[in-house]
Amino acid sequence: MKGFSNFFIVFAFLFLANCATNNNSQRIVDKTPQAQDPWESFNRGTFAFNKVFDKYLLAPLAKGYRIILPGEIRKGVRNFFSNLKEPWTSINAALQGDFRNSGTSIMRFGLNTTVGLLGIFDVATSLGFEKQKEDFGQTLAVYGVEPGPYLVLPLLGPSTVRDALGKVTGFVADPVTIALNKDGKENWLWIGTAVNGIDFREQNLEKIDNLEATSVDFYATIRSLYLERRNRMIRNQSADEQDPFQEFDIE
Amino acid sequence: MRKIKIIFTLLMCLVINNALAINENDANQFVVDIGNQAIKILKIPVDDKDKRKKELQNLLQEKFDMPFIARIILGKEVFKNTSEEKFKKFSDIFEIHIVKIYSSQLGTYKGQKFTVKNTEIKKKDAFVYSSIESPDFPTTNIVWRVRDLGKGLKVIDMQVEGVSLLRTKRNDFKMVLDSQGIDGLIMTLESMNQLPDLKIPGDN
Repeated sequence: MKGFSNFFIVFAFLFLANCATNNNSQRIVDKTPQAQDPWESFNRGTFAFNKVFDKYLLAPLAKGYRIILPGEIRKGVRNFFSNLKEPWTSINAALQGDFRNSGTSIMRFGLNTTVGLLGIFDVATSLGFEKQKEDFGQTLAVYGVEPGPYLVLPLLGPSTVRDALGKVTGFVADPVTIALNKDGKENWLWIGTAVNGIDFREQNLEKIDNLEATSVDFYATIRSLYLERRNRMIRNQSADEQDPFQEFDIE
Repeated sequence: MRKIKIIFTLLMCLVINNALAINENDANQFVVDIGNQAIKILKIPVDDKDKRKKELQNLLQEKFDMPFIARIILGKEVFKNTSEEKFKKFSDIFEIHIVKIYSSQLGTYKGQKFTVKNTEIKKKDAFVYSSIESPDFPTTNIVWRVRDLGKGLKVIDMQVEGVSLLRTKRNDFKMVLDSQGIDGLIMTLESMNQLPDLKIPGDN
């Protein structure tokens, strides 16, 4: 009986010691690949440049865009440009072996270009063809290309080496780009990119401004948001299919 | 008598330190209640900023384990070397900081519909999958991480479109914590909390 009692005391001691440790050591086990940011000081410089560009040009243009054009027209413009990205999404989905999504994008493009009047109206979504976005950066990730260091691109914002390569490939290989280049209308590409940027900023005017105002380190916040969101896009799983904390546990 | 004391201590230890088992339906209902409370906040006129902030603070205090979140965000080393009093100060300031963030990001009510899809129990936590559907914006997916640390069900993290609140804030605070320590972080947050109210999205 004494032996049992001693065993119990030792066990209790160990348990208490464990508890005492736990009390101060609840910690995060973060297995997500850490942000590789070896070029941080260079990136911070580009980030500062982008902020100036945003303050004096992009944000004022976005505000003007909001004032001049009513919400419905802005939505039509957004839909139009979004529709032009469907062929590239379809190609990338196919390259990733996701033929279902590839077909969905083709259907969306066909429906919205015809019934949706050149994409101004997104009729495909209401018919059950959900919008998705696949780019070449995601395709490279599917083929096992690592993201590489975090990279802030002038004017274009947060990226990684892999995603930047994906962007460049997108500029060259997107069927819409090829068609415009073929017709000698490459200027439309720059106009399209500019309008897209202004539209994105308009949609997120308060959100981005508020995010900056409530961030201790805005650069780190944006980097964190970009990498996490990108990671989720690459995993390509819907929110209810994935375990969001599988790599990020609180013990 | 000695044995009883040990058993009692053991039981206390279990109650204090271990997360309690969570029922799937309870976690589900818990998040539904949060959604309903959040929709009520969205419906408060944007001019009544104080009421919005007050209601949001109530929501955080009732449904989120803010001291636990604050502790995890500081990290093990910083927390270990911080006095209880200073941690309490940080925790209070951090709560005001979070209220400021969400009162400015929450937006206004424009027919959003909050739906809880399903709940999974993993280890000691419930992961509640939900979405906010809106006629004007793409659907937003939110995953709530819920744990019972003996204070009833509490949210310990939320992930909006794949982005974790905990991780974002840890990264946001890292540089100041590394260079100026918790005192520097407290000072920075204090001055940020003094800034005027921010413009609410959708308040055009």
